[in-house]
Amino acid sequence: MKKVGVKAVLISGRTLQQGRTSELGKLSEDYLSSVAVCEMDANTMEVLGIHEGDAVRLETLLGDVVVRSKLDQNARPGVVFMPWGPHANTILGSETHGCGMPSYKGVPVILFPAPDTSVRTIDDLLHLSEGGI
Amino acid sequence: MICCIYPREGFSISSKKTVKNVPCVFCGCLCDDIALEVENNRIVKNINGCSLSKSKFLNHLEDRLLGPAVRINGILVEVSLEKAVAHAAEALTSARRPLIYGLSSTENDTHQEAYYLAELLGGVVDNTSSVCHGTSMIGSQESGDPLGSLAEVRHRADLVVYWGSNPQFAHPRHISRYIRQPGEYMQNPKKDRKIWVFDVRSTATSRIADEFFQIEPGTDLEVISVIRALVRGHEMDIDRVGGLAIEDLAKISEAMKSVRYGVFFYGLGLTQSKGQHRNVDAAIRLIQDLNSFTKWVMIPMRGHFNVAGANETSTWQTGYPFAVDYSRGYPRYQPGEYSAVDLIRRRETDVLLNVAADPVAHFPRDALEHLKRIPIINLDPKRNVTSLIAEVNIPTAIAGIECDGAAVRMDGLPLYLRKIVEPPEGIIPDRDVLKLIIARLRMVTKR
Repeated sequence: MKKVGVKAVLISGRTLQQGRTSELGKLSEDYLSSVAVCEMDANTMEVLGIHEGDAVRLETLLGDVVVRSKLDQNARPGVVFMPWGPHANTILGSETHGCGMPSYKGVPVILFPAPDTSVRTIDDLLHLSEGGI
Repeated sequence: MICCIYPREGFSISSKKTVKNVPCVFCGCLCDDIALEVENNRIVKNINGCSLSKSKFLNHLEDRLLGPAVRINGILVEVSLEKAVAHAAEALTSARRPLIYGLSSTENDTHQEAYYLAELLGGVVDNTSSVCHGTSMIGSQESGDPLGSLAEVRHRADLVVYWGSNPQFAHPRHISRYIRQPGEYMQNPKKDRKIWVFDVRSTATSRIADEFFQIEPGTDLEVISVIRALVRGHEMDIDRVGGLAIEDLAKISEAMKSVRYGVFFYGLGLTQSKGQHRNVDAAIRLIQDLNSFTKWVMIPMRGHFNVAGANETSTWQTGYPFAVDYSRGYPRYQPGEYSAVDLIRRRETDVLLNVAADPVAHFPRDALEHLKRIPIINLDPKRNVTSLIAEVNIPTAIAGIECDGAAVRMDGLPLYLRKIVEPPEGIIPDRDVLKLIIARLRMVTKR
């Protein structure tokens, strides 16, 4: 596995696809494939040595998650984007600084290529820690 | 228990109708010009709706929770509604720190029952705004609420600013219905009404805007503060802030002062970024400053169709918009203390009653770790991630499709929601399930 990663700032937010597929079912394949992605610029993909659709691992201080990469032609290096959902939340912190709002945007992250690694399912994510459900 | 469901018995296959002027129950725009064609108790066509609206109405029967279920020995088992309600009431009465959460994708009468239940239990009631525009509430409590209406914007605005908001994805008809439409004092909006976008990344909205100002992540407060200083005539001793040249910001501030009517729409790019309520606070003060020169208003881009309603009803009934604690018998308010994510990550909450939300899908990891260890009573029409780990699932009717009610648009306008089709057999609205839980609770506790 490639050890060199790319540093970026992670922004999470709404996408049209995520909103539309949530109505088909939050456990549907369509929904999961719409949220288990990370959008990034072409330079970042080139440095990581990956193509659109390849798996990418995102690491923050809170943990890591593997999702599919997606090319955003208009993105600049240094800022990557994930749709809101169970995958993004795996690596986001719950500190609210006294206002109730966790850090959903502007989270430092390092990206690594993740060949031969599959994107986690909802069941995988729910069993992350001991005990499961 | 779970699947796509089909029309109820008793509905003839030839039963067809068209219902006009239906408010859409997806986002905070609450577009009330939707026409729906219904065949055999199923919505088959959505006219005027955006792709989100179409997805919501046309898939109303997909992926539903069909019957109440209780987890026994780790497995969800179908039970009667009475049994599920009894189980829920028992879990709530035995809790020391129950939390009632959600409320943004349901109607106002449900909120009323939720506040009453929180008071009876001595629990906490919070809505999903604590993870979206809760910081807007805090900002407006500090600095005021220069709110405008969408109708005013359509008729008067000549400059529209979207700050940290991507309506083309989150509110797809916002621009086509209110911004690109001509109004009483705006005959040619495509030419005379300008759209500016401030964001940290290029978005579908920034690409159709007249101007796009890309700022560095986490610098909203600095950029807004500099624009305020320039509006008030101060000179800056720096060249750039947040990636923008002071020279450009000076032009921006002059343009903002010289419009006839400006509107500042702001989204979670402002409320969730570093600075949070301070960002909103600064934006409100900028709007107040601009009102010394011309007319400006600001409107939050609310996400769920009735999250604004949850703030309104909570304020009417408890005095506070979210994060309300009844443990002392009277309402107390403290975001950061009684807000859902804080209570859960501190492991205080010992039972969660979730109404029309999906916290397991949308809360950060360590909050989720605690949610996996406590009983969750989940009221929702559809399967969601929370339903997978809930101890009790009670399916409910979809507000604005299968039951009526009221909801509040992003600009504060209340609208009446329509009942279009019958809910599946035996499924009742959220408000009625809460009433049953309250009745059971009162019977058990003799309160």
